[in-house]
Order: sequence, then structure tokens, then C-alpha cells
Amino acid sequence: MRTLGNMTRGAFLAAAAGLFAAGAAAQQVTLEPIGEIPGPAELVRIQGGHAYVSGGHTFTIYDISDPANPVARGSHTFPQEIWGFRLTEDRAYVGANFFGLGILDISDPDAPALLGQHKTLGQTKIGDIASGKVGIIDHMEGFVLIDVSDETAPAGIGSFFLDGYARDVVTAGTIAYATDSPSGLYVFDLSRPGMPEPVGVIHAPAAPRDIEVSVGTGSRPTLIVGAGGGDLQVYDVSDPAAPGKLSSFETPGRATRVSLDGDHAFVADTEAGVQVVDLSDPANPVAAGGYETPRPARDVSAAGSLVLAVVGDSEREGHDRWVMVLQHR
Amino acid sequence: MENGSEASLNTHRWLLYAIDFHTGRIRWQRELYSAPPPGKRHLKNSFASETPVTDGRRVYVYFGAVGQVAAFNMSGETIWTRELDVYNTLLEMGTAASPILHDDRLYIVNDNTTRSFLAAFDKNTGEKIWEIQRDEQGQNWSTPFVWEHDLRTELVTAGTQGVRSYDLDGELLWELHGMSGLTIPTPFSSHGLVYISSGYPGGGLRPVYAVRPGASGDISLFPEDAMRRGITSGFPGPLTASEDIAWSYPLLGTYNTTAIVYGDIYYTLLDRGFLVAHDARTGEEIYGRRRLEIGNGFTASPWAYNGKLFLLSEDGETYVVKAGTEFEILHKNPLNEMTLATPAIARGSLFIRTQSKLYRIAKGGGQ
Repeated sequence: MRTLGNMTRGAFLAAAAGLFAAGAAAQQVTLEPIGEIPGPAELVRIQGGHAYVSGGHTFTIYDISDPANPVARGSHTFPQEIWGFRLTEDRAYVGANFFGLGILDISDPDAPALLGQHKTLGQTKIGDIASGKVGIIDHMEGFVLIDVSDETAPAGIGSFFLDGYARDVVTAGTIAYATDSPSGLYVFDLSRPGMPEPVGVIHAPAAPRDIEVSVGTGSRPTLIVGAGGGDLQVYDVSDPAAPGKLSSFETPGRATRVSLDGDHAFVADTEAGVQVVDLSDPANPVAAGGYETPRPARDVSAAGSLVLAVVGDSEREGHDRWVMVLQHR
Repeated sequence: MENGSEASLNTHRWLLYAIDFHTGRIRWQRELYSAPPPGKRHLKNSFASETPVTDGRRVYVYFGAVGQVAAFNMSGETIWTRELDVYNTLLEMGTAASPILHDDRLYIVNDNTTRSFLAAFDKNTGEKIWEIQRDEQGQNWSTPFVWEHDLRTELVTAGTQGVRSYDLDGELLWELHGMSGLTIPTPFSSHGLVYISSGYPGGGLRPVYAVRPGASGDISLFPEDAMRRGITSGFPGPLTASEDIAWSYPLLGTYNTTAIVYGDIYYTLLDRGFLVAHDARTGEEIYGRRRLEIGNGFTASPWAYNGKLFLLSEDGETYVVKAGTEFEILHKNPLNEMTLATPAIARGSLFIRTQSKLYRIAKGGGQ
């Protein structure tokens, strides 16, 4: 295992100041605010010309084709608090606490429709799909696998217990990556039949709570980039059976959530706003700019020239949080 | 519905009930305090979680939420009352550590965010005999344990900042650092050892220690920052020992339940429904995680008799597991109601408290 790319907080600040003042070792990303989406807001994702925002129990779709003037389209309210969601082109997999996983048809942004529900035994946090199966993160069961070939009647396949608090799951190809705090990162191959069993595990006591995947191309490895366990963390998961930590990077704030776009990681860095980290060389992450939000940055999603950041204080239901629409200058 | 997450403005009453052993009838009740609660509480906690204690002549009660300590005789007459300062714990989760009796003293631990203390009271008069400050930050709900062994009698207290054992006058005998971020299980003794654990699931260190008698000074096994850094190994981690610690694991501790030794086996009931067995003397694993049933959580601690272990789930289902080196579920008995409290056992009867009921269970109805 290589451990490269660590940078002290002071070094980060010095490097960032140097970049701002005199050009860059890494390509500088400069962000400016151009609009906002009102709260309550806790989580945000960009996909296509839409922003998907959850706040409290409600999942709302916004048209951001004119990003300076987002327009609310449809919404769906769950009976329980939304802990997390992931998107495909026309589906949202929403973890709604004791309600379980809700599968939303989002093909019509004006009328997101609940297609099916799967109640896990504990608190459902989030789910993501691969190979016709959804991997769900549940506080009681750990990693739960369900068959969604009939979306109106998802069927449980089995579960694999994670040792601490299961936090997040993301898929790429047939692989699901699950993270658990504090026990580590687990890799599941969803193309395998039967009960879920990890094909790879890396025990990491400061495992990230929020993860995103970047699928490798050419010589670039497949990466899991995570936040919420201290530093920004980068794992090489090119070999599902042998995941390894590649690097970590100390941001100036508390890296809470992360979004990947190209070679950049956009980090919701709480009091330090949105930080941009260049992962062109994933073993050696480099600071690449940022934006000082007026309130702590809680979540972030980046796509193309847009970066959406949930900002605000820490109230649980997100009533005092909103979404800032930032654009690359 | 109030669940403790917001401060209640409603008046609450802190009551002590005496319930007839044979009939379940309330023989008397005494109100110690009446007011809106001064703070919040954890969803699983109550404002009266401390278990009363008795020497057979009197019953002693402590309500940490409102600082009331009192002694009553068995007719319900007040022997003495005292009012202590009121503090709350981390995130206003409320208090829970129960008072304990030994000889003529009542001992109370209150670890809070303001002024953590251990105090000894004269059980006959309620006079405070001594009090010491504790370097704790309100992350503990563990009842202390009086450990009587051949060398001495000591008060063992489990805490997130450290396990500390005191003599009966409050002098520190030994301490042990390296616990999880929240500490709930109660220390207990068997096979000449005292077993101590803590196991917040989000913590990187969730240890179990089996400590030998006669220790002094700092007997810590893990580095001071182990709790923060965590242990880079899977459950339950490597078996470790030292001169004063017969065995330990870094990742075997439970969150709410207290483990049990029955026969020569140390059984761990993990909160999310697994049972694990280790040799009580050596710590060697007998069997690893065995799942009781997916989806059943456990807060109440297990008990054992007649070659069986009894594991009461939060759904009110008691799993009866065969004691010994092989895991086997023998029965499951439902009570159909949420249950968080550990049952009490007395005079051949088992007392189970569910959300709304108190049961006495005995073979053939008992006497």
C-alpha cells in the first residue's frame, strides 16, 4: 500500500495562497456564485439539466437549464427523513430512514413517482443499483441486497453485516462499494448470485462516510474518493479483491462530502467552504482552488461548469440550509 | 409524542413503587419530585433509568435527572433524602448509572459535562462521607462495581476517559485508558477477574479487558490516541495480555449490553443480534459471531441458568440459547412489546419490565 500525497493543513494554506497569488502548480479552478436554490436542503445532486435536492422528508427536482434561475419542478415527500439518494438516468434510489428504500421514477421531472419500496430492518441510509440489484445501506443489517427486476415489488436477497455504522454505497459496473465507520471499505460483486459477500475489504478505522467512484480508463485506476473520516481519502479499487489506500489529503476544513468531475474532487469542507482538489495524479492530490461559502458547506455536487453546494448551519432537518449555485469562471 | 429530543414543558413525577411479590399489586408509591424535566434525554433513556438498590431492610433510590437521593424502609417511610446538583451528559442524553451499596455506604457515580464525581454516602443517615472529582466528560452511563477479592475490596468504574478503580475511601488504585467514545456496560467479576468493556459502534476501539486483582498505577494496553485512530483490524482484533490484564480484545465491546460469564465461558451479546463466546479465563475464542435473527436489536443484558442463556431483544422476544461450546437456539418467547431494561432475578422468579407491563415469571407460578 502506498501512502502518498499527504499535506499538512499549513502546507495546504500556503500552497493555496501561493496559487491564488502567483499561478498554479495545478490548474486553478475558480468558482463564482450565480444563483441559489432555497432550502430546506441537506443533499444535492446534479444530473443532466436538473438538480435533485433533499431536505427533511422531501425530494425535489429543479430545472437548472438556466442555472442563475433554478425552477422547482416536481417533488415527492416520504414519511420519514431522507438520509441519502443516488440517481440513474430515470430513477432515484432514496434511503428514507425507517420507511426503507424508495424507488422513484424521475423520468418526468414534474411528477416524480414512487414505484416501489423495500423496508429494511433498521434505518435505511442510501441505495445504488448495479446488475439489476440495489445495494442498500442499513444501520441494523449493514449491506442489504435486493432484486429490483420488478420495481414495484423489490425482493430481498440477503445482507452482509458491517461492523460499525454502515454509511454509504456507490456502484460502478457490476461492483458495489460500501463504506462503514469505523471498520472500512467493502467491495461486492453484484453479478454474483446469492447472498452478498465482499470480494474485497480494507480495514480502515477512519474510513470515509461519504464515497464516490471514478471509473478508471487506460492507465488511470478506478478510484474511490471519500470524505467524512478526517482527510479526503483516495483508494485504488481497480482490483476489487485488493482495494488499497492510495493517498489522503488534508483540506483546510472538515471534508464532509465529495463530488467527482473529471480529474477534480469537489469537497464540501464545512467552514472552509468548497475546496477543489486535483486528482490528475491520484497518488499526489493537489489543491486546485475553492470558494469560501458564507456558511459552512455541507454537501456538494459538480458537473460540467456547475457546482452546487448545500450551505448552512447544522440543524438536522436542513431548514436553515440552502443550495448555492456556483460556476467555473 | 415526547421522545426526549426536545425539552419537555410538561410536569413529570419521579416515583418509587413497591410492588407485591406475589400479586403484582402496588403496595405503596412515593413521589420524590415533580416538575418539568430540567433537560433532554436520549430516545432510549428515561428520566428515571437508575435502578434502585436494597440491603433487604431499606430501598435506596437515585434520580440523577433531578438530583434526588433517598432511602425508604419497606413500609414506604422516608428514612432520609438528599438533593444533589443536577447535571446532564453529552448531547443531553440523560443519566443512567445506578447507585450501589456496600456495607454501610451508598456509592454514586455521576459523569457529566460539568462536574463529574464519585461520592460515598452513609446509608443510614444520607450524610456524604467523601466525594472525588472525575476527569470525565459526560460520556458514561456505566454503573460502578464493588469488586471483593482476596487482596482488597475496590470500586471499579468504567469511563470513556479511563477505567478507574478506587479503594473504599476514594483513593485511586489503578487506571486503564483506551475505551470507546461512549461507555455503558457495567463491570463485573468472575473467575478471579474483573471484566470491563465499552463499545460505541462508531468507535475505532471497542475494548474488552479482563483485569487481574492487585493492579496499581496505569495499566493501559493501548496507546492514548487509539480511540481516535482506531484499530486497523477486523472484529474482534488480536488477543492481547499483560501482567495485569489476563486478556483483552480491541473490538469485542458491546454498546448497551453487559456481557455475562456462565460456566467457564464469557458470552458477548452484540447489540445488533450476534452472540460470541470466549474462554472466560484465557480469552480464547470458542465461537465467533452467531446471528440470533436478522433485525433484532438488543439493549437488555443477558442472564443465564439451567444450562441456558436468555437474550431479551428490544422487540420483547427472549431467545433461549444453549450454554456451552456450540451455539444453538432452543426457543424464542415473545412478549410482543418493546423491552430495553435488563430483567431482575429474585427468589426463583424473573422480573421483566416491558414498555407498559411488569412480568413475574416463575416455574409453576413460583412462591
